Amino acid sequence: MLQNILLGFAQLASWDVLLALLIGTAGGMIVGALPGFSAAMGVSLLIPLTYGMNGTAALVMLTAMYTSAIYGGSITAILCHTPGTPASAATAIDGFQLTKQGRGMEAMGVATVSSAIGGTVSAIIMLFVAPALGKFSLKFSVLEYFLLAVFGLTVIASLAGENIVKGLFSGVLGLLLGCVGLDALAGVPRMTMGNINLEDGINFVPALIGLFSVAQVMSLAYDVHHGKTGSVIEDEENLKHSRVLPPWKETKTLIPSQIRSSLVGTIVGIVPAAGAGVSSWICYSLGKRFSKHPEKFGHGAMDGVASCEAGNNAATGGALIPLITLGLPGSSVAAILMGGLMIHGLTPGASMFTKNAPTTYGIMVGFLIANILMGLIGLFAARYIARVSSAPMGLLGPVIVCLCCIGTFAIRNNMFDVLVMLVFGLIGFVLKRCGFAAPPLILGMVLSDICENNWRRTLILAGAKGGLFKYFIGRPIAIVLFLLVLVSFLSPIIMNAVSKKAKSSALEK
Amino acid sequence: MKKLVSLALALVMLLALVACTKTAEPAAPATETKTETTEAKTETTTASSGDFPTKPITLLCGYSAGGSSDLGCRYLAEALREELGQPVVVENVPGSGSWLAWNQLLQTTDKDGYTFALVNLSALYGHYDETNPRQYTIDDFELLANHVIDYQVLCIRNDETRFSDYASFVEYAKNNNVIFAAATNNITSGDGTVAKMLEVKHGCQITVIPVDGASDATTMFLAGETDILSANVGDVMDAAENGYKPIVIFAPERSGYLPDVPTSAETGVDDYVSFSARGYAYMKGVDQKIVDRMIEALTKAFDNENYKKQMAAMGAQLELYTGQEYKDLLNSQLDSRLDIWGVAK
Repeated sequence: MLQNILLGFAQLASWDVLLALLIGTAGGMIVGALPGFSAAMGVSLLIPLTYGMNGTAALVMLTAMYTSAIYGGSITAILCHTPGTPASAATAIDGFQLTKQGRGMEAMGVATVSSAIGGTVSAIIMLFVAPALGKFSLKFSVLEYFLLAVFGLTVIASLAGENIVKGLFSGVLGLLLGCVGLDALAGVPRMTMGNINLEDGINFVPALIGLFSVAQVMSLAYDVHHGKTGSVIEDEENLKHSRVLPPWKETKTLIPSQIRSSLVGTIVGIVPAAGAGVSSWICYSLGKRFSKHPEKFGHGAMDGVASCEAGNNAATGGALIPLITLGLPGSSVAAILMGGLMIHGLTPGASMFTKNAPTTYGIMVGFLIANILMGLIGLFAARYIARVSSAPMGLLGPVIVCLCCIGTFAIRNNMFDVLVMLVFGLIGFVLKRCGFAAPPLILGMVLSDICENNWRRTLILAGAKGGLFKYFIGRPIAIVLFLLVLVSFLSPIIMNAVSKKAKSSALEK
Repeated sequence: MKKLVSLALALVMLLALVACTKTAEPAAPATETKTETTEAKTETTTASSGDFPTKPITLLCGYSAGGSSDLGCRYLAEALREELGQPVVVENVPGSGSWLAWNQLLQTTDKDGYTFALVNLSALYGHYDETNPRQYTIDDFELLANHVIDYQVLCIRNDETRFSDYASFVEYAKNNNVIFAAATNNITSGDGTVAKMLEVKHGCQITVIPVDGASDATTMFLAGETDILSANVGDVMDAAENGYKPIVIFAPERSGYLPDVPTSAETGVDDYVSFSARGYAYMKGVDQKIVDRMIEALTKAFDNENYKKQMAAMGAQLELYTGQEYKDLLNSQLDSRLDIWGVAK
């Protein structure tokens, strides 16, 4: 093992591999930061460039691109409320609040460090225990996917914002919008109104861009129209003496969140149905639950940014584990990476750790270094990029909308998606004006498919295996997940009751 | 000063975008092709088909960039460029199981021969899918050439004790319920049709679980959730490494990739043949001379050494069918499927 890891380092010590590493990392950040250009797109566009390279260089470049794009998404999420990739939607919630307070640069520093930690932890886990963890991913099946999605839905309560009922409404609306499209099990079109463009459902990325970016630009324009200042920042004073990282006293308190999210993120990444997007929401919610000051979440909490950024980058390493060990891609990007492996004559599976071990360890060590490199470049660049937030709105707004349109069109070369984006921008603006939070809606849309399809698959499967209850009690992971859902769902109610009791007894005294 | 900085930043952002579209050339040429097709309207009347092609050609691919269908298209585009002396640009229009791309081809594209599309069985069978029937049939396409045939196989895990080959599996399934994963349970799905065939022809008891794709089916199979794996040869190239093995191939002859796996006819159980096929087509109405020129160029491109090597790395079985032969091949598979599902043509 140790010998293999050293061999992996040796693989990296050549100019072409190092150059590939640098291109992948830097390119990933740019692709990630552009709204609409997701990690999947970046990786698939790079594949043709790798034809002439050797296997190690090619895969190092592709995996570096993957993790770096997931990080890059947070840059625009924090500074312009424009998540560059779906995985950084959760980051936008607190990150943008921090920017408004003039602490955008610090938020970026925290996001950079957290992303690097998350990615590095998952890379180390992959290096040492990949084969064993690969088997673990097989323990998850339809019932577990369903329960994981339900667990994700309980997160809505923590995203609801001021008004829990309005938050729930957004979540349910998201679930409903997620039902549009071909029924995945029966193949019948639902709520498509005969429009073939809707058969795959409302395309998620344009909806996200609309809800976050376009809606944000619209409300900023509204503010400017009503005589507010022309830039994003409310508190100019902070910006003048801002720094790349918060004071050590504050940074220190983020470490537990970063470690927790790194571990949780890696596990969620391994589960085939989840991915970086789901991981960031789950880690955000856990961050809030374990936080000493949960009331700050949604109003600019540094640990909110740290939680989801460590979580989504950890998921990238997690997703690579079942891919390399079993040939089972855990996310759409991993599926594209699998194509990249095959092109270079690397068949995922046992041979990756025998015949092709030098290459495999080269890729894994490269992925590790890419995460560290990403952190360094990010910290260096943060100082300059953060100035975006002081740009006048009249300039920034049109540029953002322009980028959104181009990015949305490029996803499928489809004008309909641009229309979807603009409609969702309007929906997002109206929701915001009326006090409804957008994040629950996004979460509902993400999880609706996973929830419904896997529950229906579970019913078919359990029916053939002697009933749902019998099937359920035979699956320990499902039982654990079910208990987690129960705890997550009931704990606020119990906590409320307990604190009320304590209050009333205190009053009696 | 502030303004200067923000201006510079906006410039950088734009530059980044330009840089991105540069590397993104194959995936984002839609705007270019749009203007070209409008130009083409005026050109077709003057340009004789003799010197076809005089400008770049667009290949519509109804699947996202990076998948095996897309990679196949990109390899072909490269080989075809060498034959035709004009660039071939792959345009990805994913969505609705490639029907967005085919609708674009059949409804709004000029019949000047400068746009053709990747077609597979879904294009030709979608019309007979009773839950979501499509408007177009095999007769709406001008079939050029087929190049990939991926036959279907059934696989069992290495530690399977209940059955060991196709014959014993069919016997077992006659008396026991077997769980089987398939992507969409209807006529367009090869796996779904194999399950239906086992039910209809052999009286097997099959529970079909619809999944999203081949990799999901493999995951469930390896985890022991399903009893048997129905897949294509291209999906099971790594079977030996991951602890399972194919027991039968539904093909007229054995596959070069799986030389030890018997065909259905060899097992003596049935002589069922099922495959997925990928080829290329125009819409009806393109000048016959251009069609012939394109078939000739495709045939030569398929013979390109580099192309063959790249396709083999993906485990693709290359078989060339052109024109009427191609149509007969697809019609025979269509008839077989219509028969199994009991659908009238």
